Amino acid sequence: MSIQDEARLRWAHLQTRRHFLKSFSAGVGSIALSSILGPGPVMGASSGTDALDAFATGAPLGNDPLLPKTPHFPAKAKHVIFLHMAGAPSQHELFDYKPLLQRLDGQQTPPSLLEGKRFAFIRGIPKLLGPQATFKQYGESGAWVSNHLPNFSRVVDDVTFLKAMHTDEFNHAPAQLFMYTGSPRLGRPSLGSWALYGLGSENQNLPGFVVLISGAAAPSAGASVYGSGFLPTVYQGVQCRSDGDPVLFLSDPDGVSRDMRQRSIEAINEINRQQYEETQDPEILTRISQYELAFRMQMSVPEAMDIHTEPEAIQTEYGVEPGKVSFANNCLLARRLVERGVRFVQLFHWGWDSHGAGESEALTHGFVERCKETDQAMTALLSDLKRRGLLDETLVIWGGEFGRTPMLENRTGQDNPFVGRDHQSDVYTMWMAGAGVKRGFTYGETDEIGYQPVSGRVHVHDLQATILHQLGFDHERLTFPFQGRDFRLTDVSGRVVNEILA
Amino acid sequence: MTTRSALWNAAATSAAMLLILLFVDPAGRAPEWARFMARQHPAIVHLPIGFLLFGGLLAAFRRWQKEDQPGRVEQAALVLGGWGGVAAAAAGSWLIQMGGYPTDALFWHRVLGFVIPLAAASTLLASVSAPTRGLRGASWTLLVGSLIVGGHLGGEMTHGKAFAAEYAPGMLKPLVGDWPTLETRFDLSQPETSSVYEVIVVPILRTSCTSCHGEGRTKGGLDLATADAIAAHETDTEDDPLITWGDAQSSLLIQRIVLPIEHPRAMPPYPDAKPLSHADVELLRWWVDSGAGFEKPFSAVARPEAIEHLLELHGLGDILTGVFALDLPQPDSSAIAEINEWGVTISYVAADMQLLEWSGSDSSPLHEMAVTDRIKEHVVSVDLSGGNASDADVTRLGDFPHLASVDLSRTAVTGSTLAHLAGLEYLTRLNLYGTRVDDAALEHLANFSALESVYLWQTNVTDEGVARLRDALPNAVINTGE
Repeated sequence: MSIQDEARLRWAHLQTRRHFLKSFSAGVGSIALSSILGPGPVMGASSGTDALDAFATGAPLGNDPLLPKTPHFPAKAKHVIFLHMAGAPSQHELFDYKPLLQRLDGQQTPPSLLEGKRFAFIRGIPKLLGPQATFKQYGESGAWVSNHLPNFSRVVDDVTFLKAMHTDEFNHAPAQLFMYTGSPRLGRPSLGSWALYGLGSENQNLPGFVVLISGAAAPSAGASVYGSGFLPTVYQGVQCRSDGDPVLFLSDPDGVSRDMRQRSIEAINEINRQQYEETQDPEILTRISQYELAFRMQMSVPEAMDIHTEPEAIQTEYGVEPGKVSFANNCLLARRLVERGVRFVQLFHWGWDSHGAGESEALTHGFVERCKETDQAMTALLSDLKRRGLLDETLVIWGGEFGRTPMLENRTGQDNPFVGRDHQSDVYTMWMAGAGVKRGFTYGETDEIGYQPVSGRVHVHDLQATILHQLGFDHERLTFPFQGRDFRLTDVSGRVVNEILA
Repeated sequence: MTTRSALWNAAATSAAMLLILLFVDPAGRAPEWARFMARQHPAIVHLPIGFLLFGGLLAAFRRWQKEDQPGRVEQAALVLGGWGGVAAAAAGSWLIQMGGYPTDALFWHRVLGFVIPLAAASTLLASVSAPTRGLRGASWTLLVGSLIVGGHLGGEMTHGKAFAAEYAPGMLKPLVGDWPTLETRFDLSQPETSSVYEVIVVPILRTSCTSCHGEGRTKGGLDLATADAIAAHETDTEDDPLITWGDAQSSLLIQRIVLPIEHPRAMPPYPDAKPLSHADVELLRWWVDSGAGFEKPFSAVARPEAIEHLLELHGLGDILTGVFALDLPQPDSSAIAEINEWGVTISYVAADMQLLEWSGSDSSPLHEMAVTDRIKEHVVSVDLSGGNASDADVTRLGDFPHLASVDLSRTAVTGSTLAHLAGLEYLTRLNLYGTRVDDAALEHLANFSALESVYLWQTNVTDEGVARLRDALPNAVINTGE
């Protein structure tokens, strides 16, 4: 091939579809970037400097999508700790006390209550099942709490109970996705990702959205419940472990010193930066900032995650189990992370799916174990946040993906030594505390057997709207353009539950 | 026309106006036979306006031509315009009796309605007898001025205040004035001090109720003009009380305004007066249901979603209180950039608010006066927790006048200089946990009346010191970790 032929061939290559798309995407990329950066950190001439201005004026981009950003209105919550009881705990054994259900224990459910209802497992006519717990009223607010939560009953006056939560889904994975992404299907960003996208992170050496998982299994919907969906991946939740390496693949590989690692990251980022100059693809910014963050995290994460440095008394208060993966360890970690400016800490504790099909699923066994594993730690978390002044600016949320039926589930129809309940999406209990939520308050009411809502219903989208509201956002305005339209966490619904806000 | 006939015309006009003034009491009820005429007021009124302005134009033209004697057409315009005005005033007076118009604009519209026919008659007199040119000019000016102002007030009552000027070109707007919007009806600028009754209920009652029940008249023995009068009202035994707090359904005030308009007991009486708007009914219902009474401040009453939405429609969506209500100019961005360089995070509290938060473990940038002084008015929150903050930093914080939250937790602060924060009127939150603060330091806090929460876990304070602080600040939550 002559040199002229080669030149012609090269030129033809440059005219390919791929090349066209590449240069075209540079323009699209910069538009997308401006939407990611949104009202930017304080760096330009006015409040809410947006990235387009930064482009226009040639101001430094800050290059970091995680820098703190400005919310729509003053935020009550700077941090969120979401304690997700994966598997859906039974409200009938914890908070929603129904003496009538006790009296009706063992009776057949009237057909009028079953008409038009679908259950995940119950077939035929189930029997009603009285509460497998004893209840008392606690605190000045007189909230009902069962004997399974002896510690938590001391702090009910710091909490707002949502007694008539409801969701659209009655199976674990879609319901969990619905709770965190606003949609039962895969692909949407999670609550923590939205929070980080909107507010950035206060601590540039730690991930802004940390996920801590305990219990026998990970959440049914997998990592999608803390994924970033169509948001830039820099906003996705980072799973940290309280045992071994806190973040997987964070340590230097064998034979590579920290210094060498630093130089290699610098080199990689330099190449990435050149690529960014060329294509303006915002995902490259994500990649660069994640390399840098990972490197900074090598120092800061082990420090933050080291719960052994906590005073003995604090460890005892939480019921920490050193060297293990436990909910208590994760609660203590959550406080340490929030204290260091982490925006969103998501805890999952698996094992609440009390169908009664076996001992671990029985309301009288496995369920009681779960209560023991969580009661002391979540109480300690609330008290610890409170005395440090962190509860003023940290929203703590507790609950499952749905609730459980007042009926006994007996899947096999044979004699079963264990009792359990089926999934129920129409009504269940959650609680919230801190960051401008009322103290010692109960919102919503259920009927005499805790089967249907009577008043004060709160839909999952309403809860999401309320959480975003406390973070300083109008949930209708926190949007991201994707596939031709602006998406938001609450999709096309959601109402801020003003009634529970102090 | 002779001076004599002009005099007769003036006398007859005056007599007619006097008759209207005497026999049509604005507070009375319009007789059935007059109601049709009353409703023709808007039609009738434009005829004299046309005649009189036409006469005014002729007079101006004549003056430009240096002509002194008014022509017959000009005289005819004044006579027809004047008597048209008499008819309009009569119809208008009956229309007032039928009610439903805002009282303030109505007063001046009515006064000018009486002035115009008299001014027309006296202008005619001045034109034909012509004592001086000045008097004639003054008479015309009074007539045309009254026409414009009176006509405008009338238009305002039927079409609303913003009607005429709403689409004025931008450059004209300063001339036509900034017309009042819905916001001005409910003044919520002081939500923490003004009561729901005062800012929401009184304006509604004034619009729809007090022209008959209050302001000198108490039809049916009901006076809604003052809180005392409302509270003291006793209904007949077969009726529910005027107001049952917490239960709008059982309150006569609400029952009567939500009856179907054709119901004989519906209020305000239709068609004499306009029914209350949906928003007004809902707001009154909220006032009664919430049990807010006459004293409870607006910000202390919970607002359900529907009410929040209504207030939003009235342009009152964002109700800002305390430090958030401050109206400050934009902070100096170069100062912010410089402080950020020193490792402090300065961030805006919210978009469209010129308030800043300061957070950083190194407190030394606080003392770079030349730079930090430029934004000290804007900083509402300072977080120095876990850093090297000292008592000298606390002293410096006293220079930041709008601080609402100060976090000194986990620092070496002893509290000896806390007195420097005494002048901070917005300071509601003070976090001192994990410091060396002692009882002596708490003494300084005793007169920080705005304080809502103080954190003292892991400090050197004693139970007695905390008890004294609790006595001094009964409304504050003092957290010692117990």
